[in-house]
Amino acid sequence: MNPHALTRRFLSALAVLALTAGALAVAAPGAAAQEDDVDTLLIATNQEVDTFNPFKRRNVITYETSMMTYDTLVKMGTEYEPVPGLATEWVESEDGLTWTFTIREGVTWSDGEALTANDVAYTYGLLIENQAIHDWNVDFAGNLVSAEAPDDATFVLTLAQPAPWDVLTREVYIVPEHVWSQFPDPSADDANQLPLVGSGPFQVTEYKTDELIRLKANPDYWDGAPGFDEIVYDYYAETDAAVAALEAGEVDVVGSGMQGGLNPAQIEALAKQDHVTVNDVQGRRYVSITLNHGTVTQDGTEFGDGHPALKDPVVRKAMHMAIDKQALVDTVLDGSGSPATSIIPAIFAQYHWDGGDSLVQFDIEGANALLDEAGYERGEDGVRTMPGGGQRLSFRFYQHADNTAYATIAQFAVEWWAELGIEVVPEAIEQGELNNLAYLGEFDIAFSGWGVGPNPTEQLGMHTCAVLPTLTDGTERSSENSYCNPDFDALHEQQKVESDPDARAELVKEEQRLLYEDTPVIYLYYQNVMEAYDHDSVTGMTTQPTENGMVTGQQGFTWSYWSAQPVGGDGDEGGPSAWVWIAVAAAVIVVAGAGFVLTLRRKKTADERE
Amino acid sequence: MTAVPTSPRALRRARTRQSLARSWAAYRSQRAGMVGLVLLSAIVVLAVAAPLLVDQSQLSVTQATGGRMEPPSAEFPLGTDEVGRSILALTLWGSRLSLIIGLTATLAAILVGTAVGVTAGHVGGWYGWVALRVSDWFMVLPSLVVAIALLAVLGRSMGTTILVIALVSWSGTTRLVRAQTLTVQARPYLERARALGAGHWHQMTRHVLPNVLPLVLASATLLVPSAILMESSLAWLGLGDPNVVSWGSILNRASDNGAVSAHAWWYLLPPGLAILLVVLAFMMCGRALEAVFNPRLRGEGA
Repeated sequence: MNPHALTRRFLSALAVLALTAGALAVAAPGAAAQEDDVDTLLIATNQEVDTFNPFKRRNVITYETSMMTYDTLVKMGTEYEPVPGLATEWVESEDGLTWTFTIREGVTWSDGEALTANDVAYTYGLLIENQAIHDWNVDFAGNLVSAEAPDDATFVLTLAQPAPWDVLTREVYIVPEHVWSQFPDPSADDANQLPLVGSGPFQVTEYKTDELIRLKANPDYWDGAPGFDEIVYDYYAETDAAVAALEAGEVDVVGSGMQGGLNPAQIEALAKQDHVTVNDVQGRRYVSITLNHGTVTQDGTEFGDGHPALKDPVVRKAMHMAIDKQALVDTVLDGSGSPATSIIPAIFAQYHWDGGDSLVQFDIEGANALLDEAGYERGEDGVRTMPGGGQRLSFRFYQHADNTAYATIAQFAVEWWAELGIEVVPEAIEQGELNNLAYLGEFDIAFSGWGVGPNPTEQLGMHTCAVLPTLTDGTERSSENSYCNPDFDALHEQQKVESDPDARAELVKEEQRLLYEDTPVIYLYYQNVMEAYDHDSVTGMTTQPTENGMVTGQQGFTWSYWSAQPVGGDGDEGGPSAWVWIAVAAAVIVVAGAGFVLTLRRKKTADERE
Repeated sequence: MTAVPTSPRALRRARTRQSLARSWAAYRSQRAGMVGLVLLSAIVVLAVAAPLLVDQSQLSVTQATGGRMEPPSAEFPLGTDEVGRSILALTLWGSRLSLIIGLTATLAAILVGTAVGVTAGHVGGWYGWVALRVSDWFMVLPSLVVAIALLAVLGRSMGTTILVIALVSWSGTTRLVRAQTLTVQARPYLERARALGAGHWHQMTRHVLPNVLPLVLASATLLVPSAILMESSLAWLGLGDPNVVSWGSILNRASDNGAVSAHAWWYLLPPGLAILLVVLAFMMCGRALEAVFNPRLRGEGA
């Protein structure tokens, strides 16, 4: 090979590169100019859309789009307290059965029509009259008697039983009657027809599966126009990819939109970036393990195949004592969480019960002593047997197969319980199958975990006798773990109708104490929310709660996205103007073209020489 | 030509010894094959001796002494994982499971493949046709997708992983073995055996199988690395049993715990390199074996 040929090749390659760069440079200002017109808040997500029908949706992503698209009568404030929404004020009757709401005046739908009490009455009417919608929301809708609008500014709701907290915290998204009454069946997915018409701060206008969800701002929002012109949920398959995109400035917010959220290592990596703010604050989620203490139906028929030893509260207590929750928080969560006592996480300070005098301390020796005393003797292999030389204490431990954090917790627990002479065999099972087994009672120990809402009735209600199944086929899934305690039930009914917040909180805490001492469930930890955003492009996001609160995964209203403001405002300030770009591109093309011509000429001469 | 063996059994033994020696000489002449063999022996020795080299307590999460994802140090030559266990210990122990799964799955696949292949070639007829179509069917299915679907249905454990890998990889062997069976069948000595009254069973086990086996051995050696790779891919995708330590599951935990974002290369590289080495070793051995049994593949010599 002669050196000329090499040089020629090199130069042609360079020319091609330069040309492409030139083309890109020409294209770039076009794209940039387009984005300058519209301020977009980009949020990373990987959750699929089940349906945009606000009565039917179950996924977290559609919870957020519903909150932004529609309004509720009463909003949930930044401290999870009821604040005026579409209703400016409300009055509960003496007997607690009739609620009268005054509807805000001058509110319009995103298509320009006026919003009146008739729309509200229509929406609540759907809950009462539309069979499918009624069934999906039966825990609330079952208590509704009538919904009427005597005039355009008044809405009257009648209940069968008093339920002040349900009325104030239940999210019923008010939908436009003039649009929805055109649907043959409002319970169908017809409400997916985009763009959605709502009265909230943003409305869904575009959805492409696994690509994006676009929400346009409502400039006439009654509480003030949002700072951004639009919100786009951008789909990322992997959380690591979303993290990289945030590092590169391609996405603005990464948080609970990604299933499972960020992990400590990702937060640590993002914290090193100058343009990223990380937020590692207490969350609403608990992780627990359910002990099969015997599954029963309402009429007392036992079913399932749980280990008999788990029916003994002493065994459950000993197992509880052998778990070092702080160690789990430190290793599994890298400190981003707190040890759990009971069902209401510490973020809901008014309802959270801190364990008081009953708090179980990590004490393997004490747990061993408890078991010795109760007559569980160790066999030759070191595993205890039931009193009287019965069954060995060997339990199955089911974990969600796709969750490596659970696998680590399982390993910790297995090692701790082994020190008690309890043999536990962990088994990874798909989530759906695990749920099937759990509701059939065919397990000994299993993982569970919930994101808790601000109204404690919901979570505590899964532990009442009233929700026990009537059949043994595992199809009725309202009871979390067959817990049934009449004292607990009495407290639960009392707190439902107690209008005084402090008195109610006391009742809720007492319920948690009972649950803790009976130990049908061992609550392991409350998981922090870990999220991050690009503070070079978004600012002013209100957190919930205001102190040390979260930006993503807010409840009742998306305060953060509504209050978010773009940084820098107009695109003119940042970067060179379009003219500079065009000049640069032209220069690049001229230079590249010259290089190309030169190479061609050289090639010619070289060929001739050869 | 010194002592001439007298009994037929001694004669056979001597012949076997001779042919083994010939094969070994042919194998030894290939440098890549020898390198692979040495590498493979080293890995197997390490895997077998893992309990002696590293105490099992090093896998315990409650007794872990290291910090969270510590970079390599004197105490932890390959750093630690998110609970503070030594990556070196995990990688060493992981080799056991990865090898066991790879070998068992291959063995199962080869057994099924050979049985179907020999019978399909020998018996032929409608049985051979059906057997071939079934193996074709398995061959055209995208193996990883099928494996994922099967694991989702069957649940995750070591047993199901082995079963699934065997199920998606037996068909190649069937094709190979059937082709070889057909060529062997055409040889005159089989006709002679038939004439002498040999039954199907005798023909298949005494005449066809011994002639097919070398080929099976070579293809098995090449099948092991793909089985190990598949186990690792499945485990990495989170479809393995998370309660056991294999190279794939270490990788899965690493990526789930954000080792990529944290730039914890010491968490990702050792199991990855280990997979690479084992696959490479098996490939080298397999290629060399192939060349031994198929002289046409033998190059100029390494």
